[in-house]
Amino acid sequence: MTGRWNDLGADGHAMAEAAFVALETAATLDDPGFDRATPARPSPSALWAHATGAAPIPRAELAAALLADPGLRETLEGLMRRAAVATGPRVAAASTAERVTERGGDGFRLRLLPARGAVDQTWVMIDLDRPDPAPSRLTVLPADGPPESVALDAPVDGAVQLLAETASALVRALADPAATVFLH
Amino acid sequence: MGVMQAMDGVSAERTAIEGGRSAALEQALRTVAETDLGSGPKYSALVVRELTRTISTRGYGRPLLELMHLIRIAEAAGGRHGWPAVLFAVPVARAAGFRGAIQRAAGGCRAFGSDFELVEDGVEIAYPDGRFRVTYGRMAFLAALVEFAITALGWRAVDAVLRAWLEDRFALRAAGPHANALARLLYDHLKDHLPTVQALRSYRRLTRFLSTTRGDGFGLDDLDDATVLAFWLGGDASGEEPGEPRTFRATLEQVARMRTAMQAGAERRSVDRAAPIGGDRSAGEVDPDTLLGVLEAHDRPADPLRLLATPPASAIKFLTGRETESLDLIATLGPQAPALPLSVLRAEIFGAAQSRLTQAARRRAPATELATLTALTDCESYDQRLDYWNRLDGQLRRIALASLAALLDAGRAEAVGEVLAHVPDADLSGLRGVAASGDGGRVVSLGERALGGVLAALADPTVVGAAVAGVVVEARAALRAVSRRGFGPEERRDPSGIDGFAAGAPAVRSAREALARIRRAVDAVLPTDDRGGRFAVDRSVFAERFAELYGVAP
Amino acid sequence: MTGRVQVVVATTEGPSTVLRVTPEDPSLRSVVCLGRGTTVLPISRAYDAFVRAPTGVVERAVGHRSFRTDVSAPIDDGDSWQLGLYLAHRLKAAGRLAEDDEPADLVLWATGAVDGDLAVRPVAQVDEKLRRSAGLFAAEGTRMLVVVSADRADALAGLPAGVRSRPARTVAEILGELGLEPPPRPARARRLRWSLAGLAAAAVVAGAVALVPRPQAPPVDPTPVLLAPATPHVAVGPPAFSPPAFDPAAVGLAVLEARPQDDAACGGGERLVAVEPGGPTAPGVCAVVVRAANGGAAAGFVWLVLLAEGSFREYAAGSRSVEAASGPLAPGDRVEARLAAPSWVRRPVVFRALMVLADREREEATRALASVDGLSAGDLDRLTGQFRELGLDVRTLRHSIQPRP
Repeated sequence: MTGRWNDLGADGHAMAEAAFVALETAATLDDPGFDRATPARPSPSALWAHATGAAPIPRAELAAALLADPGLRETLEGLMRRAAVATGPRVAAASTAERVTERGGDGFRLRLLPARGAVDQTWVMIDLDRPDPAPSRLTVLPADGPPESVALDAPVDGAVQLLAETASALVRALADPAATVFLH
Repeated sequence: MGVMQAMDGVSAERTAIEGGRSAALEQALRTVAETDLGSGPKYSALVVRELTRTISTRGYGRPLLELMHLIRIAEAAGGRHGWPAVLFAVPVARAAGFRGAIQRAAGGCRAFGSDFELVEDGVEIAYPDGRFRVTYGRMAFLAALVEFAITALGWRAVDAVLRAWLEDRFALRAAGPHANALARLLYDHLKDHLPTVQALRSYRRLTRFLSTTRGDGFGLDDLDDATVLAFWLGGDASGEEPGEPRTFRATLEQVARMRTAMQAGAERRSVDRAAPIGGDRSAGEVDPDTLLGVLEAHDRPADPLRLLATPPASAIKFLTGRETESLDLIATLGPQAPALPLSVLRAEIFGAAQSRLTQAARRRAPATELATLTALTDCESYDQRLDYWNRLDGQLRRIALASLAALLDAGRAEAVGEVLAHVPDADLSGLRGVAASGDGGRVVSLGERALGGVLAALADPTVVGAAVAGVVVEARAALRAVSRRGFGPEERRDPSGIDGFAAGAPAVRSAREALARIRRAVDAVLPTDDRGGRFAVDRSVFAERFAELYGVAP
Repeated sequence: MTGRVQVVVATTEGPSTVLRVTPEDPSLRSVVCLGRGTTVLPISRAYDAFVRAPTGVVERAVGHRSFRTDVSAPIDDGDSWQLGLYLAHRLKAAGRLAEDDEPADLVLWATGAVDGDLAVRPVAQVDEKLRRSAGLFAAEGTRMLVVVSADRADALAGLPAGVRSRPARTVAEILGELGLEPPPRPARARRLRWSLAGLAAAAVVAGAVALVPRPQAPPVDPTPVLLAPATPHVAVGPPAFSPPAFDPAAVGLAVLEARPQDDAACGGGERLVAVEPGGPTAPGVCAVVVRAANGGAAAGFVWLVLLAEGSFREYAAGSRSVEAASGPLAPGDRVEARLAAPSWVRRPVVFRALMVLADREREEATRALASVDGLSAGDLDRLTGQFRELGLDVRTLRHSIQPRP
């Protein structure tokens, strides 16, 4: 083969161009530039490790990543759904300002009850249709902001209850109709 | 070609598809590459590079098909939570990790044993219309691919395709349309995000330069050292970083890539000449698998360095940081390095100087400092670099020999292969008697019983000859003399550490071979008595150009 | 008497005052909370069973089935809080419980279990509880009434002058003392075996095995009784508090820190340094060791548990965060449990050591601790109380270390 430039023909030129572009592209992608100031985002497997509790991502880091990349929330929600024992979807509400006191999902109902013994506290009551598998964690993914998670005690007579500050991010998220609830 | 001033400040986030680069795509790749679940990087340098190549060539067709089958396997093994519980839960993506996860799950899943069969190196799916095997070794790359796809395309889009596949009938032929659906999504995304615009611009700039300087009939031999220098001196001065001059090293790498590209184009031309008339490939269409092959061949010399940075070899300090850095350019240039030997020398020496200048310009050093740097008075000479390469060669040989001794001590069969690599024309037929395989066959048996005897006999000159026995002696001496991490007798007690030697020894030899090729090439173009003069001339050329580029008064 | 009464529940860690009793939504289970906060104490499950009919006695008395009771300090002990909380409920129902910071005319200090017939059952370590409340008893200007089971009357001998005491066999006796109506007589005098076996079903989920109830005392009421249907239980040997030759007090519990030799990294040679539990230590600890050593003249049996409190990422991935050791402990013998510290952590990590002693191996304890890997700090709290109820000697130590400087 002579390999002279004007001898390559259409196919040869197409190949040379495609090969060069691919090589250049690969080189560019491998070495994206000196600026590494922006922190790396969590990958799907990092989000899975967070959703399953195997390797939780620090709250601030996750919040920043979700803010910077809305697609991440979609992935996190999808993975949480996969990892969950049961999921409670967004609640249809008459207005966005409405606060939810009861919501449910496949196999459970969750209620928010004001604690009579303390004005600034709320009971979270979860009634399970099936005792098995018993969830050990409750996670809420609000429309904005990072997920809130809390450990659950073993159910008694199919019910789990926990006490939380009414002003806590957990309770506010549970009361938000736009949030999604997961039992893990 | 004017004076290029270093720009004040560089914007932190460059969105710039117009600039030819997509931050989103780079972010997606970086996200996958930097995944760390607490046990170190999940994906090795080799896997990340393979992913980059696959994306750059759009060669994801077959890998996506393989991925579909892996998803079937992982979905069955993942239990209630499905495929993410396998592909995402393995903390370090290596064959052993996937093997462990799947074998553990297989015990509790009835489908394993009927639809899915565990074989030696992977899992085989027994579809009604055919079988498909995914090896454990392949799973790391496929896992990286699906993570990239989700990161770039979003969870919903990818999950929809995978869900549709899993709900489709259990048949080999049913996988294709779903793989294609995902491929289309990737194609559409990459169309907008691959930095092809900039790459095309570079291509046109370089081919225009060549046509102008060497005529339209320019060939591979015109892409030589002179072209590299002339292109750097005379071509467009702008570099990859906005506001920064192009580095000599970047120009060299680009010309090397063009050489590979031209060779690929010429091969295609000659293949198609031989093709029957009315062949089914339309003019201009380039097969991604062929492209992938071109990139893999170009990458091959750099892969040993990536391998040394990947477990299990990375547990052993085969090379120092300086040694790795010294080999990096030679490896990156791929098979083209020996064709551009003078440029390699120039890049090593004047490229280093340009790095220092770039750093100084970024931090807005005073003019006096820039002037000192551009004068290149303290520059390493060609003689000094070649001396260093000579010493480096010796060091690489000693490390390779020490690795051979480590394998011998550990009773590993790979030691035989290493001996043969050092003494290629050795006659090891004498080992046959030692191996006592009993069948009198021509192949020396390396069954466990026989291995110990074989390895011991490698040191016996009456069995294997003086050359081989001598190498073994030298290897043992080399091992005693090496004090790098991983080589010490206490460290070598760990049997899993010896895997590092088995993986790393051939890589060290490959790196040494790449260095040897460039040294031979330099010797051919730059005889010893020429070196001093050539260096003096080159230095003044580079000094003058640096002064222009970095705004220093001559 | 009339007037407001503040109720104090006795524990081995000191007195815990009842701050508030609040009727809650009937769909909720009763809980005991710490200090009006959201921390729900581990005894809540037992408390709910104590409140809710038919097993519980509070609902029968006051007509409501769900309560939230806030106390000032943690209550770990098995059942000895029952007397105090029952009286608190009765006082609340009568409008006489001094809650929050209300002034009280009387401080009622109580320790004892209450069975289904409202008899007051004896509990262990009354001496220790009295000792721990010495400060309370010494406070000037406070009228105090100390109430214990009649079987523990001897423990009252050490009370300061001016502190009134009332050993009792029945709750009715104490109610009378307080000027409250006697408890409602149940329609049938039924002996209910108040046991922990009822919790077994839920406890099995956590992997722990329920422990056996206390040995039965003879019935107080001479009227014929109907036995409740038998519930499964495990046979118990002679009560552990009859004087054994083995002396738990002679067993020392020590905490040691494993540190690297000569500032090297962990994983090489190391030295063990005995430390004051809970005392300050320098960072750079590789592992914590607890050691039980028998300095007495007779052999016994020891169970040791060492737990790193909190959760750490790599512990979650499989390395151990709990270790247990058990075995016979002859005179001069020692048993150790060792747990590696999470070496990458740069903040204090609390290690909790639990030592349980008996004169011989107790199957229930061994079984309860067999699934130690699955135990949480809360499970350990509950088991601690149950071991004490069995009459076993239990000691808890906490020690905070910083693995990495």
